[in-house]
Amino acid sequence: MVKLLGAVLVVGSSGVIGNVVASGYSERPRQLSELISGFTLLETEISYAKTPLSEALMRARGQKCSVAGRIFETASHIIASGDQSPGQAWETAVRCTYPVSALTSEDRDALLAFGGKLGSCSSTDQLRHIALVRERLRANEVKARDKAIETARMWRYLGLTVGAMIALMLY
Amino acid sequence: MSNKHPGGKSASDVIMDEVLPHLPPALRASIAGLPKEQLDRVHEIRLRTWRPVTLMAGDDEIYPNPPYVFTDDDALMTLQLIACGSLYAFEDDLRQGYITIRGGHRVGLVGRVVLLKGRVATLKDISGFCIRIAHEVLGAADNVMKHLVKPPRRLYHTLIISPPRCGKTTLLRDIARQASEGVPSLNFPGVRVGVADERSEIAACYIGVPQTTCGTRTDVLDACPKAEGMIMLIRSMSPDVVMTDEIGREDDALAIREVMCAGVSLVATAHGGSLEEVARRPALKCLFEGDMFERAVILSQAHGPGTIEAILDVGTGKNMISGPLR
Repeated sequence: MVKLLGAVLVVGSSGVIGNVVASGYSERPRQLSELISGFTLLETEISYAKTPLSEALMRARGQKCSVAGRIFETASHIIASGDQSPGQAWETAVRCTYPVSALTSEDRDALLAFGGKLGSCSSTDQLRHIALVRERLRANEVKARDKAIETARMWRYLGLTVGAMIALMLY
Repeated sequence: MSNKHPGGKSASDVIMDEVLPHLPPALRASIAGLPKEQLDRVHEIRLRTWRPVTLMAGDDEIYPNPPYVFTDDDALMTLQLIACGSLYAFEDDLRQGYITIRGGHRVGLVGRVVLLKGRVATLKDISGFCIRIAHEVLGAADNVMKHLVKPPRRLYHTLIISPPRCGKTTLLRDIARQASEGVPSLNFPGVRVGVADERSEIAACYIGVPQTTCGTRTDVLDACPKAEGMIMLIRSMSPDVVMTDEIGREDDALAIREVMCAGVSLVATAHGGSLEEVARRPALKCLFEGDMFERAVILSQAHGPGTIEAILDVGTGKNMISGPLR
């Protein structure tokens, strides 16, 4: 009876570990999705209200604790301080946030490329750059989501299988 | 009469707090090093690439010590700082050749003009800035109000005429303030004033908030083309008086006729040396054919900016003051 209970506990806990690891893989598509939403809001602020960049980034940041929120807010503060140009401010914000995010170097490069002309061109060009970065992030998100589904499924099965093997060996 | 900067600050404080943050750090330090009594007299800062920075105090030119040569990198940085890193938000302003910054200070720009279908699309390679320090003169209209009030609670349709830099906008702003607040000595109660402020110079709005004292009953339509702005104000805010600056186009004249025929008083300014000169301008001619304006205030620089040369009753041509006033 004790052995059976132990076996159930081993299988159950390794299953939970598998699930936890699997859920980690859904972080990147979620963060990419938040960034895409942020860029959509930024597009509205620029095209309709012509809001100055610092204010526009604050309004488009979404949730403060999200990766998109951190990048937009940090860039906004640096631009408002006048210490760096908008392009430099954006680069600083992306580089500061990247290590604590689930984003890959591919996502980071897309974000950095966006900063090049930030604030120094007409609204038409600015909107074109937003559309471009959004397209790149959307493509990355689709790939990340497919990969996340595959990898998450694998980790869930792996967790249960390893648990079952340990239980068999101990039994 | 008190010469006052928005917020009651001295000119040097205004320059330090509101203008210098828009300049590159090295230039900031160079101007901040000037004596306070010199900065208090400054009304214009002129920046031209590869030439020394000049501050204008009346007709005097003041140079930082040592002289500061304004580079093209400085010009790029100044443009970014003035536009808050958001050139797209100032496209229309660039097309007009100026940007208004916080505090209502107007920054004129020159550079290379980009044409699109024969019209100015934007400016690029900006090579010169002229920063005009905004100031208001409370009481500038003290001498004219009694001639503009039409009892019991109207103003005559008035045109303020002068060449540039004679104080038209300053006078108009104070007329707006006094009409809005009321003038107890003339038994004139405060009335609703609508200001169509195309160039953000009358109320000097920054993000929609007037930076000058323009009266408690004043509604400002900021950065809106004058002709459309005057009509929009009548429809939306039912003003007793509409005010606007620097009329000169045919659509301005059409809108003015609309305003005058809607039972609303109108006070406007126009560039010109005399009433006859303005009446000869093709776009404005129609406004003088039916004697639509009732009063004309002529300004000059004869005894300094804001000298009132004449206040004319347009119908009779009679001057209502005996000599120049300041």
